[in-house]
Amino acid sequence: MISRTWAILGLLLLVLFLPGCFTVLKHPEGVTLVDEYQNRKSCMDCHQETWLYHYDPYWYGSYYPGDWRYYYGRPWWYDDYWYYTPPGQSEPVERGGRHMWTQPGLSVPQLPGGGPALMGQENKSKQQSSGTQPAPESKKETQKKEEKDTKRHMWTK
Amino acid sequence: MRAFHLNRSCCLVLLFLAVLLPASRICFAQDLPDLPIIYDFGLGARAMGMGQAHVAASEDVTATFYNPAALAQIRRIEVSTGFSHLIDNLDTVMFDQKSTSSLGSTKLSSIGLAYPFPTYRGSLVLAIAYNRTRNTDSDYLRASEVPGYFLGPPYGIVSGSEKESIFERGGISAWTAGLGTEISQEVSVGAAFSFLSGKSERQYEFSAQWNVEPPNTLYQHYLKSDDATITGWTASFGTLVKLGNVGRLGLTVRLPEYLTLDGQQTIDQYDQSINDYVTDEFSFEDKITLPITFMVGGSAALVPGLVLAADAKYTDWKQIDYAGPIRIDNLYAYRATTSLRFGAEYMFPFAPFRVRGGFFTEPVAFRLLPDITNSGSPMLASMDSDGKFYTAGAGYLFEETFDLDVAWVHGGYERSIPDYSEKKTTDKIFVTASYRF
Repeated sequence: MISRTWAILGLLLLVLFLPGCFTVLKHPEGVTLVDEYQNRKSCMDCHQETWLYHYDPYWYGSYYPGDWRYYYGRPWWYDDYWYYTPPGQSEPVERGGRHMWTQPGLSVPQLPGGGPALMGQENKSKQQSSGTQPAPESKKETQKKEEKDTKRHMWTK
Repeated sequence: MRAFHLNRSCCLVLLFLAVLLPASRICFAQDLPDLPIIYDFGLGARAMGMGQAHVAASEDVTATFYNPAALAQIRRIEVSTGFSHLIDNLDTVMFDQKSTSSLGSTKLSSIGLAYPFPTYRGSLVLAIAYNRTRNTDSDYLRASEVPGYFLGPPYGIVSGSEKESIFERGGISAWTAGLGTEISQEVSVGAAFSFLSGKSERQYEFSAQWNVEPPNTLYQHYLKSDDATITGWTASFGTLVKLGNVGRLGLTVRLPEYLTLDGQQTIDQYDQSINDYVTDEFSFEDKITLPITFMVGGSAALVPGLVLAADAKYTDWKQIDYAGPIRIDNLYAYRATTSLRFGAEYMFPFAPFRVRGGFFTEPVAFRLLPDITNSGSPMLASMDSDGKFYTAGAGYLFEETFDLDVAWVHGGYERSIPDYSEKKTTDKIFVTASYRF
């Protein structure tokens, strides 16, 4: 009986591990992550849908209120997945310009035809007199994170 | 007073000769033990609040117990611990005389750690856990005047009285290592191996007196004390299939549990012919194999914030192997049982707070009781209420990392035979705290 159980155990362990090709633990060697605008993309993105890899699309997340998403849905290694700065490098420093106490730059929405939207004169003058400069665009220089991945005695009377 | 200390075989012969008739009333039970270790005590406040319907709904380290494939749902490192409190009340009525016994027991229920390996795709989660899965705590008493015993020739039917009590403390814990992984976008599989350990101390006492002709009284006083350590192992396998992001189906197979009991037994029996007690002490090593169990379940989140779950658990207890099958005259002492479990959980949108409710059945597998008035012959008990339990629970998430859950379980069963009935009421409280890094 026990040997049969061990055989079933071994068989099921094989079933468990042999199809492990879906779960990928290690990034393929020799392929680097690339940046696309401000979003880090992995090599997997070139092959299949990236949203499958980072969040579980079949998690009940879409039905959970937001407070539970961090607890249940966000992988712990995902926290610094995108904006990891390797040792020896620092975040780029923007010098000059105004950063403190500034407001986001406002602009007049554009209609599909290219002309300005119909806005009240008051709003238009407010926008012109704000004098706020739009924040300079920055592009994060980040690199790929290295993954480390015959007798009864008891209960008788 | 303990006048005699004999070897075991001599003692048994003497016992047989000295108390031939009274002994017949307890022979039945010696061959047909009522095992308290076959019932799951329950684990995890969230699961218990949802009526234990957790084969498909499990999303935490208790998946090591309910469905190891559900470990693959865990995305953050989790440390969890839980406590349980048991309140049992047992009312027995024998010839209209009621006896009540009750117990309270607070135990560490679980400690668990789940570690999800970083993945680029899919999921691989390793978990280790200590789960107190079985409980043997019990307190039992029945006592009454008995108007008519059938003691057999030459006594026939006589009047008398008897008292029977059981006091037991113990349980079984599982030290489990489990692994869950996704083998496709929609399918997870998992396995868990458990080393079982525990102990149980049990004291059984039976006393009776019969008024026989010519005017005389037969006495019996029987004390049996067992103290056993329990070791063993088992394993379980599971799979989980996701139906989009609105539903899941789960299957868990629990392999047989192979248990070894190493213990000491002491029997003291009053011998009326010598007006003294005869004592027998010895060590024993018993083997028990509990049969395979199948659990299937489903869960669905069709409405925002609401999760519904349902499970069925099947075990054919006739296949218990305790020095062979437990049966007499082709009558099995145990039956196959199917436990049905239903649960719901609602998460409020304005706060990280959720409430739960559930219902589950846990049919009594041991179906025999001794016929009080007919020398203890086994009788099929009539189940008037067969293990029905209602559950409620709540949980609050602090700082998106610390989850505190509580659950309350209330239920019991009623069974009877002519001139005797039992009503057991059980209340359990579970508290589980989990932190996710």
